[in-house]
Amino acid sequence: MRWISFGILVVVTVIVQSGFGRLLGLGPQRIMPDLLLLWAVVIAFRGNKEQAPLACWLLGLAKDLTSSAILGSYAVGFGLMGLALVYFRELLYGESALLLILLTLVSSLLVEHITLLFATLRGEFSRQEYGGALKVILLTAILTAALSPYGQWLLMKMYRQFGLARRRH
Amino acid sequence: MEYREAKSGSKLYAYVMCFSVLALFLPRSLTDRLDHLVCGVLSPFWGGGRMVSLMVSEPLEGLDSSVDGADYAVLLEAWERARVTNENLRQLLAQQREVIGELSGLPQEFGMAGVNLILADVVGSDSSNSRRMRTLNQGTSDWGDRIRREAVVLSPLAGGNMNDVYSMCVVGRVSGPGPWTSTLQLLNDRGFRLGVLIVPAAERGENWVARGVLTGRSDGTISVNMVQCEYAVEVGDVVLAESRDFLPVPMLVGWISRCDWDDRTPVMWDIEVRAALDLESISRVAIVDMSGGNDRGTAEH
Repeated sequence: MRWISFGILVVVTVIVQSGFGRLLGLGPQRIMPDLLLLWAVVIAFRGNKEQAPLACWLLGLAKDLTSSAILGSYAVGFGLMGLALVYFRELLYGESALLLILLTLVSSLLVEHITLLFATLRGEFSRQEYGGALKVILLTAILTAALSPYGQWLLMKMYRQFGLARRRH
Repeated sequence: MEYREAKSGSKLYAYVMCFSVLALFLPRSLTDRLDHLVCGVLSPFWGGGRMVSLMVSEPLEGLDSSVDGADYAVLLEAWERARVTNENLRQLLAQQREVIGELSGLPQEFGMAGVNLILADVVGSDSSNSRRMRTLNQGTSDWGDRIRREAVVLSPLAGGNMNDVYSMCVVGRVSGPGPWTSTLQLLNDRGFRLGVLIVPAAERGENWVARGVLTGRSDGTISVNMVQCEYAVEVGDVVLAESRDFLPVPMLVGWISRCDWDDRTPVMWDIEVRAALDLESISRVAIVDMSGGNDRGTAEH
């Protein structure tokens, strides 16, 4: 993993996501795709086995620092997601877009629920609000998953700059 | 060599995950400072992104409007603006009547007179879709404690004048003032709470006031709770923000879009509110400063 290039990617993504990402949002609530999670899934799917979980953690930390979530909640969620994906990717065959879409969908749901769990434990989220929150989480996951093949394509165009493997082993 | 690198990578990952778990227990007052530090560093870039988005969005908005539609939109906008102004002025007059009725001999300031508005731009938003927060480009380094936590934030209708406070509506509160940026919590954020008044629509010709608590829901809708069924609340009635410490006179929040009996407590209404403004598209706001005093970047009225 080329950490300087990765750092630039994180900063640019944060600026896009928090700066003018709402302009690209869908619906009356301007639901945005989660670009940080998108990169985390692609890097966990394609990156170095030892460095990918750390990269995912850093992406989660970036999301923690630019959102109102409890500090550490997204970092833990992204880190666990990255670790799980790195270990289970050996069981998955191929590089198809459908596989990546499914992985992104599941990862997004998992990470958001981990964050909600921490918020509930801290008393910042009540179970009565779960129905409304689930709607937003599902829409975000679907939108992010739909963009994941394009995200992988974009990142793999610069696989040398990021130190990623050109093909999955 | 590769084994040593792999082991150090795993160790580092374990350390950072432990740090994250420990960070979960840190108090918000500490972690919010870190958030504001990051926002302060990134806000110049967000401000640039905002300029780009405004440059792109303004020409696009006119592309699909025909002449008739444009005229209608202008008229509708003017009508909405007048409606907002009207509701806010009604409250001002009611307050004036009350004061005169008390026959005070001292000089009186009515409504929003004596209150300063700290003008700010919305430069960023929460990177998560679960919360409805915005980042403002004003902080305590310029304004000190004049930007307070829980301060009410107003915004004008599109095309409205930032100096005309009575054409503005309540859009949220400051949830965290930082040194260079502040966080605005919108009305439809799930953690938002604000005391409100409900008054009948002007055309009903009725005269009563109900009190309730405006709450943001996790799906982005706005509800008002704890309003008793003795009041004849109807769709179209006016919802006003009331906060004596942060707002000298009730200001418009929006209109009731749905009201039913609450399933869980049948003696209460279950009210849904439509905000007077499109909360997702606000770009300029005014923070209500009740501390008094003149300064640059404020609007007086």
